[in-house]
Amino acid sequence: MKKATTDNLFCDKCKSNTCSIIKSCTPEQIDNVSTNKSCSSYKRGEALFHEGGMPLGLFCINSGSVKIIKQASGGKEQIVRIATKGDMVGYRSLLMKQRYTATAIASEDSKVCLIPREEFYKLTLENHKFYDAVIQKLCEELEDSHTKIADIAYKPVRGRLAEALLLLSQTNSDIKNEINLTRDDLASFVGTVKETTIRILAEFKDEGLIVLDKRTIKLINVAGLERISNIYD
Amino acid sequence: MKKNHQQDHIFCEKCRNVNSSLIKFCTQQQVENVNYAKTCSAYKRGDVLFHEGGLPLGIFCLNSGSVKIVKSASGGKEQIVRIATSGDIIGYRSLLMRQRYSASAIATEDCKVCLIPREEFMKLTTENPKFYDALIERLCKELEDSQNKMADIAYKPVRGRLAEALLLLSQSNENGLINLTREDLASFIGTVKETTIRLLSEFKEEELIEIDRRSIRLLNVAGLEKVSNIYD
Repeated sequence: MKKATTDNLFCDKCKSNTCSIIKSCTPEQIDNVSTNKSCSSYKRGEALFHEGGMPLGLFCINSGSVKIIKQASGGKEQIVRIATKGDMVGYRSLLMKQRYTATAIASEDSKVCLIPREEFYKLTLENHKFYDAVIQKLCEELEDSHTKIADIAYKPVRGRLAEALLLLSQTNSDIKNEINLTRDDLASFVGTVKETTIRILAEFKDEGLIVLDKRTIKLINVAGLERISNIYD
Repeated sequence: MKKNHQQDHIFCEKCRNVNSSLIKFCTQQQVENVNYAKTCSAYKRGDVLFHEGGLPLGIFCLNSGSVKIVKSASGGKEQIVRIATSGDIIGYRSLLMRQRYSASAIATEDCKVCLIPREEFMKLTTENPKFYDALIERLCKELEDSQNKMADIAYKPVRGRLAEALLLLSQSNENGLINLTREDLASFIGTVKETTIRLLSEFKEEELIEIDRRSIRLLNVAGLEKVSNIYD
C-alpha cells in the first residue's frame, strides 16, 4: 500500500535532539542519510510494518507516536512500547537480519522517515559511535522491558495505570500533561482490558487527578498520580 | 560477605560450552588474555553473584549450574526476568551501559562461574568486532524473549504460563528435571506460590508431570504444549 509521501524532512533541520543519528554522525553522514531516506505521513491506525515482514530499513519518527505491538493470548495485543519523536523503530530486526517480531502502527498522525537498510548497515560499520548509540538504545529497551514485566506481574493495575499516564504524558512533548491514546491502546499498554481501564480512569476523574475531554486525557494532579504509582512499592 | 569457595581454574578453550560460547570468536591471544585475567568460583544454591544497585566488576560466564536474574517488584516481590544456564553470560548489559546492576543474580543451584574483569571485557568489545556482534545478537535475543514474556504475563492465563515455563526450563536442564523452588517458579511466571502449588497439583493429577520432592519431571510434553498454546 503506497504511503502518503511527505515533503522531505532534512535530518539537520529535524527538531528532534534525541535522535541517535543526529547526535552521533558526521555532517557528511547526516547529509547522506537525508538524501537517501524517504519520508511518509501515517494516519492514526496505519501500519509501518507487520510482524513477520522483512526489514526494509530504519524508521525514524519525526513527529507523532507509534505503538509497537505483539500478538498475545486470545487474540489480544500487548503494546511493548510507544515510540515518539526522535525514536528509532525496527532497528533490532535490522541488526539481527531477521523478520520483524512485532507490528508497528501509528497511534496518532505521524511523520516518519525510512532510512534504507544498506544505508543503516553502512553507518554501523563506518561509525562506531553510531553503532554504540544504537546498542545503548537496545540496552535501554531491555531494561524497560524487564521493569514492565515486573510491574505487570505484581503492581496492581491502578498503580500501573497511574504510572502509564505519567510516562505517556512526558513523551508527548507537544502539549505537556496530555495524552491522546485510545482506551484500547491505553489498556494494551498497561496490560489489562478496556473495561478496567475505563473504570479506573473514571475513578481518577472523580478523585480530581485527571480531566477527560473526549479522547484526550489531561493530567491535573501529577503529584497525586505519582503517589498512586509508587504506593505499592 | 563470606568468601566464595575457590574453584580450580577452568580454561576457556577446554570449557564444556566452548562451541556455543562467545569465546569461539576470539583469537588465541585474546583467549589467553581472558584465561589469565579471569577468576573462577563455585557458588552454592542461594549465593549471590551480584546485587541490584551494585557496580559492575565484569561479566560472569556460567560454566555449569543455573542463576536467576531477579528484579524487585511492587510490594517487596521478586520478578525473575530470566534464568541463565551453562554457556550464558550475565551482567554484560550494565557494563555496556556503564550503569549499576538493575537486577540481582542469585544461584538457583550449585554453579561454577568465571568472572572476566571489566577492562578485559571492554577491550574485547572494542578490539574484536565479531565478538561484539555476537554479544549484540544475544542482547537482541534477550529483548525478544523479554517482550514475548511481557505479552504472556499480561494476557496468558497462568495455567498456560506455567505449562510454557515448565517446557522452557526442562529444555535448558541436562536431565530434563526442573529443580526450582516453588517461590522461584512463581516469580518466574509472575504469580504467587499458592497458585503455583495448586496448578502443579492439577498438572500432576492430569499426569502431565511427576513431582519428586522438589524435582519436577515432565511426563507428557505434548499435553503441556497443548495447555501452553490453548489460549493463543
